[in-house]
Amino acid sequence: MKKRVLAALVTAAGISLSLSLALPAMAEETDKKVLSIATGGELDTSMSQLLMQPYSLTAKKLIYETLLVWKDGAYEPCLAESYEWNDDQTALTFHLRQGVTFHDGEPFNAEAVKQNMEYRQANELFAWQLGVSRIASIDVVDDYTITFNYEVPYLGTIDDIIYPDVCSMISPKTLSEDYVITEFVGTGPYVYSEFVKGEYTLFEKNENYWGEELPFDQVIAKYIPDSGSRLKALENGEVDLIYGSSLLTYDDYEQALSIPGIAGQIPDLDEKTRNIVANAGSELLSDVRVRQAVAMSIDKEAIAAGLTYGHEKVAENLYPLGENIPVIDDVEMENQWTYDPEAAKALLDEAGWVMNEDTGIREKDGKPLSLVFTYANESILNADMATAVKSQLLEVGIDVTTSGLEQMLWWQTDAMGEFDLSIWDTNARVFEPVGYFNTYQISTAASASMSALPDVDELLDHVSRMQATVDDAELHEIIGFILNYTNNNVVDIPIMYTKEPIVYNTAVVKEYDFFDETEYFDIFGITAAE
Amino acid sequence: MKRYRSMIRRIMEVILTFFLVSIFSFILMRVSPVDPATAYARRAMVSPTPEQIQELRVELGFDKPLVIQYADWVHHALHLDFGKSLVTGRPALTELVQSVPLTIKVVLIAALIEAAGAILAGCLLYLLPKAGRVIAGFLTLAAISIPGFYVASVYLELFATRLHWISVVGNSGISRFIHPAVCLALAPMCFYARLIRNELQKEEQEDYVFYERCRGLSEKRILFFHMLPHGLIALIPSFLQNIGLTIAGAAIIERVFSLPGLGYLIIDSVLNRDTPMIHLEVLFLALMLVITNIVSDLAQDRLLKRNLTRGENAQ
Amino acid sequence: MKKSEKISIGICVFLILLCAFGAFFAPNDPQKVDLLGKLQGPSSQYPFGTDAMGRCVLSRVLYGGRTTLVIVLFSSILILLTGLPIGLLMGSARKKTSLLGESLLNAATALPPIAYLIVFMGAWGSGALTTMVAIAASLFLRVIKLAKSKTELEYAKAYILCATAAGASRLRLLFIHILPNILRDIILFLCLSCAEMIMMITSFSFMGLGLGDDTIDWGTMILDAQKVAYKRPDMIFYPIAVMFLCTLAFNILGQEKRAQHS
Repeated sequence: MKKRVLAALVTAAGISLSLSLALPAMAEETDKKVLSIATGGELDTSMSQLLMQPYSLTAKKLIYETLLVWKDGAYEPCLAESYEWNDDQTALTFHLRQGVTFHDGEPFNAEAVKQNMEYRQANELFAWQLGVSRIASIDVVDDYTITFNYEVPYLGTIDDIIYPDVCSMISPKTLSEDYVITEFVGTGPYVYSEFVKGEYTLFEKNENYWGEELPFDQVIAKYIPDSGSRLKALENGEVDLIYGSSLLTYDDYEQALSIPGIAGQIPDLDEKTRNIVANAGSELLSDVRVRQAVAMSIDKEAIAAGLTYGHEKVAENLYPLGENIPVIDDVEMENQWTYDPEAAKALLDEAGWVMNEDTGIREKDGKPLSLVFTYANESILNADMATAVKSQLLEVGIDVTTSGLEQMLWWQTDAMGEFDLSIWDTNARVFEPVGYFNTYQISTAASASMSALPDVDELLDHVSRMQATVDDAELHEIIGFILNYTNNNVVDIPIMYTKEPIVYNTAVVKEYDFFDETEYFDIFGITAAE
Repeated sequence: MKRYRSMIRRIMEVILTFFLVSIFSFILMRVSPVDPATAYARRAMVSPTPEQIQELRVELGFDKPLVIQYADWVHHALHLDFGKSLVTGRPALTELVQSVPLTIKVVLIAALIEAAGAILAGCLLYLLPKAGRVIAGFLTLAAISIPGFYVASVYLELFATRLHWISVVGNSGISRFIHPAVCLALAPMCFYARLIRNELQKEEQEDYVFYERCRGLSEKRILFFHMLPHGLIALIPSFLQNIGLTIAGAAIIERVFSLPGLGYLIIDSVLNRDTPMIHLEVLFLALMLVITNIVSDLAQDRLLKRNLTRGENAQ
Repeated sequence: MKKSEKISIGICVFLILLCAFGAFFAPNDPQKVDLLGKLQGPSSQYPFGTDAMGRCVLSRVLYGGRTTLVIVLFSSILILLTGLPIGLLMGSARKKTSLLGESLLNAATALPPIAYLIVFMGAWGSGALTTMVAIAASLFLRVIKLAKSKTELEYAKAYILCATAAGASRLRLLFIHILPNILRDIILFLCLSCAEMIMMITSFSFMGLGLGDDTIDWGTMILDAQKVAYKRPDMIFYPIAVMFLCTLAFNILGQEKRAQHS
């Protein structure tokens, strides 16, 4: 009797189990040519200019455009067909493209550009984008000619104006008083068409687009917050490509490559510099010899090989010299802190830090050389880098306590100078070298560190001069001074240059051609597979 | 009179729970090392000066004494204004309201699966011959000991990537909720299956079973119509309470399945130190728990009445 | 107790002790980084191979055990020693405990431990101390409530009446008569709580709300192992297996006696 009941139950279990699994998966539309990309964050408020969220970098350039774009080291026309400076580089005139309309029908003209610029100027957020905040006046010469007037010339003016997260042209109708933009209307090849929370964002082809024809009728950005699930979706064909360092770690990249039918590319172009700031104002690091020893104890090659599979290049200097970056190119560095643990040990001995054989940590006046290393724990690579540096410094007798902090706390701690070492990267390549140096004037780890140096005023003076001249010879002297200042004082210890990887399904994408602002995914870079 | 007193007690508990929860989270947030004004300023501007931070502090009311801040918060809360999320800038209540339905669907479906599965498995455990019982017993214990994120990960790997039965993302309709629900339901289901088995074993000792066997009723009938209902009574309150707890525990599973529900929102808020959201989320969790507790208490009362004839003390 | 039960309890306790003290048997320094020797397979020097930073996986698993179990066991014992007496005293209070006091206790324990974790972490960020405090706080209140309600139940029983009639003082009643009877239930509860805590700590560190930088724990190991699954698919099994066995042991301990008890 009992057995019959048992049998009945087992059958019931079996049936219900198979039923639950047999439900069909979503069928995709096949009549339109669709490109599916992955996004790690919701593309609603993050698409607004005013919140620079990393997740929107994949989709921003689908709908927004800037006056010029940076490609192959030069400025190419986009919404502006040409530009020119006046003689002393204080007036910048753009000749705008005609016949362009915003997705909502508003005409794109000089008046629209003016409203865009004034909107940014009034916003605190762009205070340190000097090309925007220092506009003294704007002249609307005619419908398609506009001039920005400045009091002093500045090297980074155009770079500030063409950075997508600063000055993409948005429809004047969407500019709202309280800086909360709720409609995302630009001039780009795709229109922000549908947003389903928790699922996807749909971009439809802009039928009135002024530029070249694109192979995809729609772009769907699917919301997949978990990195493992993103790779699974790629493998499954539910997503055609994944772009950018915020969505792909090097482990993810290598893992994706091992999936059949998936290819990946890493550009030659570097993006930011991974940089460690040493706090000259901290008690233990106040002796420059100790900072030098720290710099010479870091084996950058091992870190680059071990943490990035060799994809990232070792950074000898804050910026790659001799690679055709204007102004930096032929700067001569007075010192190079190459990896030399023996020399580091000698320096530490000289500075009075004697090795305690029992603990393996150096001591002076009874105090151990124990450094606090802070970093923002958003990036996993930061944590790994801190751990690697910690073990390398231990080799020469320096003890390190790593402290991964939530971004807010990390910034606060660093700005107040409560650290010995900290990971503080430079900015997007388009802003450099001036971008990072500009930040020496505000509260950052580097400025906190340098505030303890006796001659810091001379440095700040150079930074101010840098912001007011475009004379090649002068800039060369200024930047040379700054680079050497921070290097000689071992305030910045550059480690590697970052890259932005892409992985894609070879059945959909044949190849990807990176634009110079590699932070952003650019759909024009895609060569579609047949 | 006793009824009245217990009702008052219950109401008091509800109100107290809310107060306690809100005070608790409020105080902790305000004594955290991250100054809320700085956090807010930093999100709004790239590099705020100390003057700007102070301005913001006054504007947002962070300079007033703690008690007044709390009173302010309560006042706003009663008007359903819970402030804006520090991450998205949108009203906290909106964020919550958008994410809750997803989680509720998953949890309810999970509860159904748990109930059905637990009864099924519990009976199986009870009926199997000795060897099978030992193995099945061990399997259920094992299922309780495996972490949820691993189950979800393996599940997705198996059914999406390997077998292509479901998509990683973009499942539509009920398919979207069933799979996370299954993963969520696995551990509680096994937990209750064991309890049901224990109850059934207890019931077997009761007189009425012997009596009914003498009367010639079939085993099936005895099991389903008599033993099972009695056995389940004791477990229903605990089961209902557990639903409330599951809501909190759904976070990881939601993340693996790309489902932006409440659990996922909570984790995000904690990672970003989004204070207004955390206050609201904890309050909401308390609300859910209070509701499920009340429901389970009521169920317990009703069932207790029915059980009085057997003179047994239900749990 | 039956012999088979004794054996299974013994195995479980042994497993738990192994996880707790296994760190002493670790073959290598779990923190020693060797970037160029990363992701090696099992070898004589590294029985479980090395992870993405070149560290010995076996040693890390053992040290992870120490971390997790220290938190869990230490909190449990502390709470047993402090919460139990308080619960006993509250449960035996002669005058009826105020409505407010009881409601307060119920309200506080209505919240699951995870809610405590969320609030504490939201305020102080993740980290070993925060986790321990949050877990201890929630567990403490629950033990008090459990001890209190069990004590109240015992108080109604016949033997207490007899003992009181025989002139036993309240303290004597509590510690010599009641305590042994409710101790078993409290310990069972703690065992199950330990299992729950291990699961929670591991899950939270898997999601990035870990125990802090230099602390080794299974959750972060699992997270790391997932990222290199294509190169070393076996790496994820070590921390999961150990965590599973540990949790299973606690679950068995928490269950085992119950069958006999009822």
